[in-house]
Amino acid sequence: MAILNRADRGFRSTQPYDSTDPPRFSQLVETAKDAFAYELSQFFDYTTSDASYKLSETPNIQKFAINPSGSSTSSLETAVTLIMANADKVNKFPMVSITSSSIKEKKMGLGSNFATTVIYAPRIVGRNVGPFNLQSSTGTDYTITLTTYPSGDMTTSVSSIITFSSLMFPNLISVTCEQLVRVINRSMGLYYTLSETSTGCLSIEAGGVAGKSYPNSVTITAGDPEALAALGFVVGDTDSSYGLNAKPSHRYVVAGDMTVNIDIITDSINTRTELADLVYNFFAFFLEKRRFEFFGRSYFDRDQTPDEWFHIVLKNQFTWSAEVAKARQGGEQYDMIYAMRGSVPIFIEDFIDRQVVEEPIFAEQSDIAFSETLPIGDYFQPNYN
Amino acid sequence: MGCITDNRKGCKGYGSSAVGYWGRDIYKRLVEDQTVAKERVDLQDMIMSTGVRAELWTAVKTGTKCKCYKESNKASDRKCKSCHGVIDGFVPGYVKFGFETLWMSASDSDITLTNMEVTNTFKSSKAWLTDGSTTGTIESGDKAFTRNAIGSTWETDVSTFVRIAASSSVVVEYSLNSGLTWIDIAQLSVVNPSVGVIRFRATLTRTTSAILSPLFEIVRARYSHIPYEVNRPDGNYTWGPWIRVMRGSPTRKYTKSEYGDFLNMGDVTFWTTGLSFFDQTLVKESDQEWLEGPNVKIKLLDGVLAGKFFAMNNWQTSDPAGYKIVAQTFKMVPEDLEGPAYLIW
Repeated sequence: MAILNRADRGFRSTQPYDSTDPPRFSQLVETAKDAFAYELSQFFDYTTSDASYKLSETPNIQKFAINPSGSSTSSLETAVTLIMANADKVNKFPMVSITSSSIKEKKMGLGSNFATTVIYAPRIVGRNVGPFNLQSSTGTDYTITLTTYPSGDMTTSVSSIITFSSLMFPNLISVTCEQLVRVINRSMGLYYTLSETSTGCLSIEAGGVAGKSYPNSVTITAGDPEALAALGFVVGDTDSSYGLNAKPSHRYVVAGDMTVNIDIITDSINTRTELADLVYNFFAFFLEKRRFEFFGRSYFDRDQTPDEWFHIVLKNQFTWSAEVAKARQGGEQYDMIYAMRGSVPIFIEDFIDRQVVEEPIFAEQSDIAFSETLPIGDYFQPNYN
Repeated sequence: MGCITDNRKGCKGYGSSAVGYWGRDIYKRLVEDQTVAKERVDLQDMIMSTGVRAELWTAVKTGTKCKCYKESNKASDRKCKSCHGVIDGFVPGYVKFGFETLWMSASDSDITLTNMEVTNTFKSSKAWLTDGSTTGTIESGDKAFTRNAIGSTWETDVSTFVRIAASSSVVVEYSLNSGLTWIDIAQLSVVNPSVGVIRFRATLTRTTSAILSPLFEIVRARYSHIPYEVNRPDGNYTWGPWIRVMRGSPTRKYTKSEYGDFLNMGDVTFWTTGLSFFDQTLVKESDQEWLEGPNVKIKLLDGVLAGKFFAMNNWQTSDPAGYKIVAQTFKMVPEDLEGPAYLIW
């Protein structure tokens, strides 16, 4: 029976299809194509974590599995080659090809593309990569203590203690970053938020379910030396909304309604039919676990450089249209190439955070001198009638 | 004038009434002079003097349908190594001209499966271990053979797929005594038996049933029944398991398409004579002489296009006076380098 693995459900980041050419702001067309290529390759990859139920629900996905294990299987015709337009090789069939797209600008506001002001919560990042040995040598659970200002007034501080308890972590000798994040955020993390950085280190952000993230600050004030050393913190580590690391930014958005065209190209009419069903299945059913949305990595990792704030929403209007049988070179009439073109209407938006480096009021700019004495002129108070 | 007034054949009321003059029925002249046969011999001489050798593959048109054949599309899988996606999907697909080909595939009717089953999970259809089995076999029945052509040796080709190489394997063997003893298939060309029966067996194993099963598709063995004869100065034989063709000059161009850059060669016109000229076992002046498309492939062995595969696109025959066949002309197009034709053995 088909199974529902709820651990595989939910929002996830879409990795770059080409790691040397990650998404860049405003590259909506290329970003969307890359996202589709990556997600389709994940769907056809039977080595992925959700392969078991993909294979059980649509058994013939095996013959289209990507990344066959070993060169000896290449002749199995198991590889679906996912290419962008202008591949260098003409004959890598069967093939799923994201070939073209059309886009129509969509304005997300009136006038400006400004979306919101942004400032990240203050945070401190451990210097060590997990898993961590937090097993106490004294019999008393290790703790670390940190100070934040959850009310946002920067005068009323709260001291929080994080306890690495054997009640919560049966194997304290090797606790992963993910375990710390999952357990502590849902138990004792009222005024701070733990997360794992893209490099595997533990991050502590000011602000939590009972505390504002801005304005705020976070400081390590005490802790068992062994625990601090394991996590890579030292007493005195601190960050604030006003510190050097604070980068207040304005967020801008570009968006569009787009239609991505997907071709499947095969050298067998049997394969075309099966592959068409599988690709349709991917868009119409399997993406449900992702809520039919793709996200860039910055939604889940604030350390991306440059940011990847793209967001793709499928409109659930996938269409297979014309079937095509095309003769091979020279007009060969029997070994035909069978293709089918599909289209996927989507909405895509992409954000960019632009750090504010100069104040917008002219009188406070650095090249204007400030003086208590005003020159002669019309002002509100002195000569206002 | 008697024959004219009598309207006898040969006169029909026209021209001369000379006794013995065949001008009124030229066919008789052609037959008695063997004019058509002389024309064929003339063309054969031309082919033998300046033609190039070409290996030839034609599809079988009867037999067992491959398990990959799908009624919904009336087609088998094009990249199937068991049937090559030929018309009606008959196993073993293409066979090489001048050879006797024996095989064992997952689609055959004479196979015995032990702890194995045929699966359509993969393209194309193959045999794999049943759930829970760590070893299994597929074994064919006996197949008679007689190999007596000069210079002929056995050749073999095995299509198996091992997905987890560290802990699973496929061993293909043959037996010349109906399964009493088995020898690795690679030894067949060494042993090179001349006459008898042969059967094939593939043994699939994996260390545990949790490991992905290896797969078996087909094993083929063949030997030439056309002797290699008459040395030429270039080291090649005049006669052997091939045909000779004359060809036109191909046109080539380089194009850029939505899907990439590739070399595009237009069709090339070839001609040759009836096939019995190259294979004495074929019946002269019969349908066996004829190359009928579309499941015809050739691979040139000589000239600047040596090594290239061509697929027959259209074809015509010259059969003057009903004589089969003086010459046959066919247009062929080059196969894509990674196209299905390159799976043909």
